[in-house]
Amino acid sequence: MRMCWRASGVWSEGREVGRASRMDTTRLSQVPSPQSDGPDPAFGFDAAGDEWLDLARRSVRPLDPSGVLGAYTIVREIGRGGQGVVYEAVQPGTGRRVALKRLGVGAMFGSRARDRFSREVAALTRLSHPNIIHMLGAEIIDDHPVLVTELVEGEAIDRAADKAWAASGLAALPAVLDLFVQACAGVAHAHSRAVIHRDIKPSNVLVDAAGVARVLDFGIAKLLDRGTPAVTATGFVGTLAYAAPEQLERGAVPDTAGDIYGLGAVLYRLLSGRDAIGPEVAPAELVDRARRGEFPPIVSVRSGLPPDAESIVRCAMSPDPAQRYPTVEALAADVLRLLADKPVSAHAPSALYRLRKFYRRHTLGTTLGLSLAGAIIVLSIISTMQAARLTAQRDRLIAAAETEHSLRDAAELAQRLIAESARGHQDTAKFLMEMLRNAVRPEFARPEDLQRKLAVWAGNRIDNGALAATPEAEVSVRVILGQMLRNAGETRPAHQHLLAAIAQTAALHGENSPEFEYLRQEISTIIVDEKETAAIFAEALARAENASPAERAYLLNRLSDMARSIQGDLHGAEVSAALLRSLELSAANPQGSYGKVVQSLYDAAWLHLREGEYDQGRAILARALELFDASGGIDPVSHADLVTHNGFAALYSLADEDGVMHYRRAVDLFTRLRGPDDSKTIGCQARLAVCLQRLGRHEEALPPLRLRLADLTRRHGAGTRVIAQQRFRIGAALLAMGRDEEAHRELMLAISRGKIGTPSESVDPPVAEAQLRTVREALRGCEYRIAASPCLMNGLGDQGWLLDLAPRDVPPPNDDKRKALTD
Amino acid sequence: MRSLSAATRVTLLSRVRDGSDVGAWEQFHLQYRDLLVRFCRSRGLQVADAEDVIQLVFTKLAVGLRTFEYDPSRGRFRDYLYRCVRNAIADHASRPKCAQMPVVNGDSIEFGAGDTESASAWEREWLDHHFRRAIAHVRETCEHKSIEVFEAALGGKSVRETALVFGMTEAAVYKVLQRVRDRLRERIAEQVRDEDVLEG
Repeated sequence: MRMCWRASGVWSEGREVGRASRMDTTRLSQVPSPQSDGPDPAFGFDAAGDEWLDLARRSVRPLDPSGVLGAYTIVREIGRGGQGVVYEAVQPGTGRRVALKRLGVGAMFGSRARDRFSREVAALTRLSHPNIIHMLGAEIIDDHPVLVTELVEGEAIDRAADKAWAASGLAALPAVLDLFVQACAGVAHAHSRAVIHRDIKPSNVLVDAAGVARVLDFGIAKLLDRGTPAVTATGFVGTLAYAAPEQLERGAVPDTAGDIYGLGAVLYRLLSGRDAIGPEVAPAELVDRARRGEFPPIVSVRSGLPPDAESIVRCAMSPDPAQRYPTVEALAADVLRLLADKPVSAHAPSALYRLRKFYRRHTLGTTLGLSLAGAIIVLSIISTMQAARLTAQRDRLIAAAETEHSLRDAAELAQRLIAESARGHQDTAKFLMEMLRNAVRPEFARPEDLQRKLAVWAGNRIDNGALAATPEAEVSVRVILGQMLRNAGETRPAHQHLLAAIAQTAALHGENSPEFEYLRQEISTIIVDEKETAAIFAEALARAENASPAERAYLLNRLSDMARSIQGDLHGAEVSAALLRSLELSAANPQGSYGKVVQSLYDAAWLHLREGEYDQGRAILARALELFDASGGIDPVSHADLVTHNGFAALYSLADEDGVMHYRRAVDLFTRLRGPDDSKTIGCQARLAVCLQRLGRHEEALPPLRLRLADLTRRHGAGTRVIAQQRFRIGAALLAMGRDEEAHRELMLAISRGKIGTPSESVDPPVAEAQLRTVREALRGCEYRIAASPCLMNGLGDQGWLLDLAPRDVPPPNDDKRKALTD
Repeated sequence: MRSLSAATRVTLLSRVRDGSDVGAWEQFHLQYRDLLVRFCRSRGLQVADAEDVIQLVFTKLAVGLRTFEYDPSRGRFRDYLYRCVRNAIADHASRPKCAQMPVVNGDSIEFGAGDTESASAWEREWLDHHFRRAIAHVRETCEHKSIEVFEAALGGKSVRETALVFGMTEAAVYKVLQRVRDRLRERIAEQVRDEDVLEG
């Protein structure tokens, strides 16, 4: 090796290693957990034998599906849907097989939520009807609602219908309609008990072995107190295709009309074999089509069906709820009439309806005409009382709007206004009304700027406290502004508003509320530019400085998350400074968990360490530890982790004295927290030993070395490499202390990988002796310090594998590459 | 900024990062769910808890991948994923439960000084994951007879028994297994390579 290594504490040349390591990005630039082991596994293909086959066998071992959920024994998973997972389980006590649906959204938290939940469940368990799957009860297990229902083996009604069509062609019509009528009977019964389903779709109607249709999952949406079926962070969309369009507005109140729409959509599916508004349609488009009632006639999909079927479906799926069947019974009655070949009652679209459609479909050539139509459309869906208020606005809208685009924006704002009003949020509504009034001011004249300008104007007002007295309203408006700005592509201000909103929501309702969850998903849909993340981070920190304690707690956690996403940036120093500041602020709010912040600080420090900036890296962690020590007793787990991080930073910086100090403390803390034999405690012992051995303090190193050996033996068994390496260390320490006989024994065990003493596998004695001599000489030659020094590595030669090197003891993987770089 | 090579191959990760590709997300789920479930179960998590943790992981990934939190030049995807899982398990274990102080589940993983046992469990599961994927690929692309022989070996049959059952010589069985082995090795290498590639 070209470099000159000194077997002492701080190695300045060692920094060349750090620099070289930057080049080999795949291997050494990962953030290591301080005890990460091992190169890439070879997948068993390198070995001559069948190791690969063993691994292959292992990989396809079936996973035991069973388990325990509360007092229930899970037999298997039956299926999973958007809301949660369904299991087959055994009920305790009765031993009966039931279906458990564990709803995905946790957080049945406050007593109010639990009471509401119990009341809902009580209402649902009272539903008893041959076409409804009986709910036996519900529990809250680990803050998740778990619904217990009868176990019914069956298939979804759409599949049953498809099979019938495939088997009998058009002759299957009566059977299919019969199934549908059964489903209607179930839903009608529920309506008579004031229970609304809210989520009718084919997968929620099962046909059992006896051919009986059974509706399931009544009212679950209400149990969850969910708003609109949202696009989740992962991008999955719930089944919008069966949801009534008016139900997709925020603040919509579910009613029987929504269920009737759902049934209509199911009927469409059963008759035609496909969804009315198909899966190939993008979600936003889907909603629009539902609003316009745009879907292909059934007969165009499956010919030969009676035309009245079309009328029934169109009536049930009318975009205007008032135009639908008034009750499920009415729908079912019409279907029965169809079955009996009698005339149906589904009414033709009214004149007003047709007029609306006309305006929608045909541009009048002038934007003004379209504006008029647009305004009419807006007005047509609100009640007369609100209509009066908006009539005055309407004229102004029409006058001010220059393009359809801006009118749509303003109209959307109007719709939101109405929705908020309907929810009784008068303050929000008032604010939005003011915004609307401003929409017609001259400075907003350029329509494409309308949303953005309005949002900025409104944002300024709010930041100056316009809604400070009514925090709920402020949250609502901020959310709307955030969404508007997001849609306008202004990600940073959008993020700002949503962040403020979510922080306030966390303070008002807690992080386990549905409101919070909704906002969390909203904020995660903002795709932030890398360049902006740092600025957002700084803004969040500034907000945290001035926020109330409850808001601050949320924001500080968020900061840690953000910190991770902007690491590696130029702003490393700002990040770590900000995190430290956030830690200071946290100290005033003791009941937090600091795991995240600690981890982020470690990550931030590591960025320095790996670049060879050892002082900066260590300073960050040292300061954090100061803060922890000063605040006395918060979060002992994170505290212990932080001490360990400091130890690791010292070890990595080759500051072994400090390493010893920190790791000793860490051992203490973990022993108290988790016991002396816990893996974390032992891990710290191991690192402590490394530092001590590097310093040449062999006697002190021996006890932790032995502890580690005992732990490794428990976990790995005698013949493995790690054990051998540990024995090597122990042997070295013993040699240094002059305890030659014990040392030889350990070293022999190491060299022969524990095989000494087993007759069938004993090592050839002269060979072993020679190896032992080599090892001894090598160790003596470098004063028994275990480190990646040339004298030790050259001295060990073939036995070099005995060295388990601590981080930064590892020499650059490719010497030639490094030579080329430094030449 | 990252430069694109002339022929940019679109990998699953890059499609997922795109954010608008719903199909990619579903595929991603399918591909990684098993690994996550098995790992969580190996750490002693119950069925329901594993479910929650996996939800958390995918949510973190959704945000993390889109905000470029994962950067292949900074480390391997499997390490990043492992960190996500560890964090998720710790988050899950320390979540406030109703009427309880935050509890640290003794069985769960905590980040910090690291836990070699958990890291080796992860390595094992990750290895198995790649085997499973490669085996699935092999099942679809190899010819029928070879697959049957391989399945027999997977099921634990000895070479002799397999030879008897299929009316082949032992040497022939060995040959088949060799071929399958080579295919698997190739495929796994490709998979591992692709895992860390975002572009081309």
